[in-house]
Amino acid sequence: MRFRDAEIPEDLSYTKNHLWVNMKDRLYTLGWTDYIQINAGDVNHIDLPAKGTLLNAEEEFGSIETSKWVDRLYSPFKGRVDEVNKKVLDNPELINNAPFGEGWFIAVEPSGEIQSEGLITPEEYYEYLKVCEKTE
Amino acid sequence: MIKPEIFNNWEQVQSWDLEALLEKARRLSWEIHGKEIKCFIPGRMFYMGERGQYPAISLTGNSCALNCDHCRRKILEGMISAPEPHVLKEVCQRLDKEGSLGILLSGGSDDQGALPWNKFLEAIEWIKQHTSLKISIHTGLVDHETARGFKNVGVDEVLIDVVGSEETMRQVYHFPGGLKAMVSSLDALAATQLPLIPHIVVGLHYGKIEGEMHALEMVAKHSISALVIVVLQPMRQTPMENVQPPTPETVARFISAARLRIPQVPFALSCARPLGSHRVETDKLALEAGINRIAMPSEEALEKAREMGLDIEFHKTCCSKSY
Repeated sequence: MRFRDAEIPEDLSYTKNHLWVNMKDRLYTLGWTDYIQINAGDVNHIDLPAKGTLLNAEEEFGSIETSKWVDRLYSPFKGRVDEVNKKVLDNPELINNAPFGEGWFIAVEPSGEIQSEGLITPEEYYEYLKVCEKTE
Repeated sequence: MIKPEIFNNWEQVQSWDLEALLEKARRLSWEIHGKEIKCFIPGRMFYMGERGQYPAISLTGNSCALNCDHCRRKILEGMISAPEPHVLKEVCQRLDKEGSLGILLSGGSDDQGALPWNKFLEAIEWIKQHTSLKISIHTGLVDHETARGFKNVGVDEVLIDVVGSEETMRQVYHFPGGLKAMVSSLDALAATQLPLIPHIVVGLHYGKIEGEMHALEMVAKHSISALVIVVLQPMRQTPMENVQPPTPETVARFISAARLRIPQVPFALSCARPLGSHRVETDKLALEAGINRIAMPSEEALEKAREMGLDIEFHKTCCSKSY
């Protein structure tokens, strides 16, 4: 599925903060969506938590900076950081070059029940982007 | 009143003890401008959940004949393209309806550093008459007639990047002999008595200090509304990709020297500056040098501003704001 130039892989979940979540394995992997990396421009800096950090749903776990976008990253669910993509810390351009591949952020071992309202389907994300475009 | 200081060259600025230099600049700034920091979310930039309401529009789309080494047209990519007057009118009508506060008109230039202003003056006048948008323009190099045109059609403020080195004009801008045109453009813009907000890019010469002090002298001759300090941000896929930007200390020294040379106008730290830890350090040192405005401030800078007892306010416009 595509929204304009942005790819929306149909096997992932999404958040309204423009994160994708791969929930296929035991570890849930998170990254920035194609839509947001296209709109925010070249990523120059990212802060991610250390391995072992406990995350709470809707709590900040890092920050990201492009020349026109400065924001915190929020975890959509509770869990423990199992793996951090150290490559993107040194080479944030990976987030632009391969948002769903080498540009991933962290892998989290979820704990407790995952609250479904924090995550949306590809179709819902597509509809959400239409709203985003309208309000901008 | 703290005595201002005129540094004749960059070596003199460097010879000062950093703390003493920052303190002198800060005290002078606070004495004149008060203990406050104005923060800006320019363009349509996104900052901690808030969005700027002052989009930048390119009047030349993605094209630019100068193709400068620090940009290579990359900056144009993030702007709304309006290469024809009727497109500009349509875009502005829409932006006005959507609640934008104003626009920054910019774009690429021809090989003489000029933008196609004459083509757009009628459209600019129409926008001023039919919308409530403020209009800031990044002029590029202009002659007196064009500058008068800005005044006649109701432009709100004029912004210009001031380069103080012939060598930088030649190497970075690919425009030999451009310094004379730069001086003449500043004269033309100043003569209009429109709010004039020069920008000086620290480290434009491949990260080195080259013509910045001369640029400061060029600017100091005129009545200006604010001075915007830009910091070279090496961009990917440009010849400066691997250049080291000037250090935060260098930036803070330049801000201090500028403050002591031009005490009366507010200084802004532009949104165009290196990010990450560089931004954090630059922002904090800029506060110590008494900077008055910061675009997209780091959280650490906001914390420091609070510790310093500064009043903080946010605006969703360009940091050049003169109205």
